[in-house]
Amino acid sequence: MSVACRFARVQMPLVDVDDTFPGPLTAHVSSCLRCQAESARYRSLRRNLAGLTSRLEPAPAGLAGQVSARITASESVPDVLRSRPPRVAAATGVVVAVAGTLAMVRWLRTRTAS
Amino acid sequence: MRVDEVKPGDEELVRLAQGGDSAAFSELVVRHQNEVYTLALRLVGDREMAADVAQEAFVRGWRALPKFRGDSRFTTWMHRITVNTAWSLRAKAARRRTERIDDLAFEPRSTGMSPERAGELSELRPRIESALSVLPIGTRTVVVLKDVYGWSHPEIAEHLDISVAASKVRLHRGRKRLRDELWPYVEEIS
Repeated sequence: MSVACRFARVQMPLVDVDDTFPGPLTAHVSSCLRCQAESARYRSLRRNLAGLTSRLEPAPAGLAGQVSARITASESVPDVLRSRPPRVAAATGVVVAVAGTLAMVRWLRTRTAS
Repeated sequence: MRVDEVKPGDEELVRLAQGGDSAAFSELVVRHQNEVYTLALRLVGDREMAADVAQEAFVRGWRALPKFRGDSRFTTWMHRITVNTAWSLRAKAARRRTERIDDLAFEPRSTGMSPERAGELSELRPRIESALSVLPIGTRTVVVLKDVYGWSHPEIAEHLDISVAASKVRLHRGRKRLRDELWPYVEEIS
């Protein structure tokens, strides 16, 4: 196997649908039957992989029902609405923290004065 | 159901679901569950986990539906969610088993397929599925997304949180391995 063949073999797995080889390899492949055969294997592989799109596995029975049950269980609340409670909780937390700090400061002052 | 009754398209169902109509979303699930499950199965290579991924992906899809702007088809959007879900669930499972999921764990394994010469395309496809299923998860994911679903390297890189170069390396490795598995007796004699 020539150096050009070896280099072409390294490049072949990355060649895409147009079968364009980088630089001088195009000339080599077009004149090398072995590389053409190898290129054809990869072309066939890509074509068959693309053809898998239409081969579908049947989803397990009950999948749709399980999804519906989970959605119903979460009370059908989409994310936009779901994001509100954390904001309210965060705001409540801030208010409680500020109020607590103020109460502590007042208590310390009272204690210091007495 | 009346014969002249027209089924709503995906866009209409998505619009209804975005308004909170869970029945409309359930119809979308019924329509596309095979596609989502098949993609999940190709990514994780395990039927039980694929069912979990598909279920979780649809639930995430429902929750994220208000953000869906309709720039792409619903199925394309669900594919992206399925990939992200498969990746995260697989990573969680792998962490639990203290396994490495990246390609460093690459160990050649035989698919056990009969070493015949390549035949008709219809004969080859089931073998390709079989060969795909034994690729390492990182490699398989890139091959599936690029060659089966037509994603670009930048898209793959973004969703898998890897570099474009890493995506190309995995594609190279995956195609090479598939080629070696599928054409074992037609190797060139050097």
